[in-house]
Amino acid sequence: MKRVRPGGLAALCALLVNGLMFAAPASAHHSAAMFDHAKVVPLAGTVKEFKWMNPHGWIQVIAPGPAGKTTEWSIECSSINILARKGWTSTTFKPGDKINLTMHPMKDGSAAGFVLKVDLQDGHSLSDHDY
Amino acid sequence: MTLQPLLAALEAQPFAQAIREGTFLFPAIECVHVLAVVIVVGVVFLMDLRLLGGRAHSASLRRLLADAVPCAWTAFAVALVTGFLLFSSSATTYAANPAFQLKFVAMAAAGLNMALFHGLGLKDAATWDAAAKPPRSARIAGLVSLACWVVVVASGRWIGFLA
Repeated sequence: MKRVRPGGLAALCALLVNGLMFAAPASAHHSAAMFDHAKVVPLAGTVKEFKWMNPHGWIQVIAPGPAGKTTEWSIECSSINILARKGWTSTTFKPGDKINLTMHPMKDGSAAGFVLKVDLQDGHSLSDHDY
Repeated sequence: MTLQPLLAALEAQPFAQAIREGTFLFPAIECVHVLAVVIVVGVVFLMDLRLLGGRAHSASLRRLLADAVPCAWTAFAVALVTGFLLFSSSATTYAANPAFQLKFVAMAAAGLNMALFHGLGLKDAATWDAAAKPPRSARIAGLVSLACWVVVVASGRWIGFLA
């Protein structure tokens, strides 16, 4: 390993950095500190996509937006091992499913939240962050 | 030029999907990645502090480097492979993450600093090899390296707070 030419490594790093600068801008993602943990608000809408993924899942929901107009909400879930222990699966939601959920909303009022509980149309419920 | 199709293709690979959608692989690979980074940074800090004249005086600088550099490279290789696997699981998202980008800028800077030091700074090392306080250029190289690796670790941890 010691024989790796340092110049070669620097060039490789420069190439990587150069490439990354051309990557697309970030889509809307948020840290948990962005959510207002003092508020619990309901959201009723239609599932557009359920992202069963690490490091945590997302439910994309079409519902009335903060300004009243229908918009796409990004609802953040726990890590999928936590979700799996609480009975969620990768097929819990299909696009088109009608759901009612409660969430901690974004502090800045944008169309996103931290999911607490989801009621499905068939009458059963799933909880995520239950504190 | 755009990397987008390449990143999307990487993300679509079965191994990337398995890491993204499984309950075990992501945290397991993350553990190994963190462990490898800890070893890289720990060993690099030992060399940097020796350059700064602060620690590890019992051996001459070049003896310390002979022991530590291969260790750092081995751990770096493990970090690179595990990091690539984690990256592959959501390549398009991570590539667009400003903290991820900063991490690679800091690694490039650390690499450049290391290349300059090993290429130029060590040329006359025979004359100050055993000195507890190396010459100014070596101390600066040590300080720059410390700073770069602190940024690598901090921005690496920050990725999760932006994504």
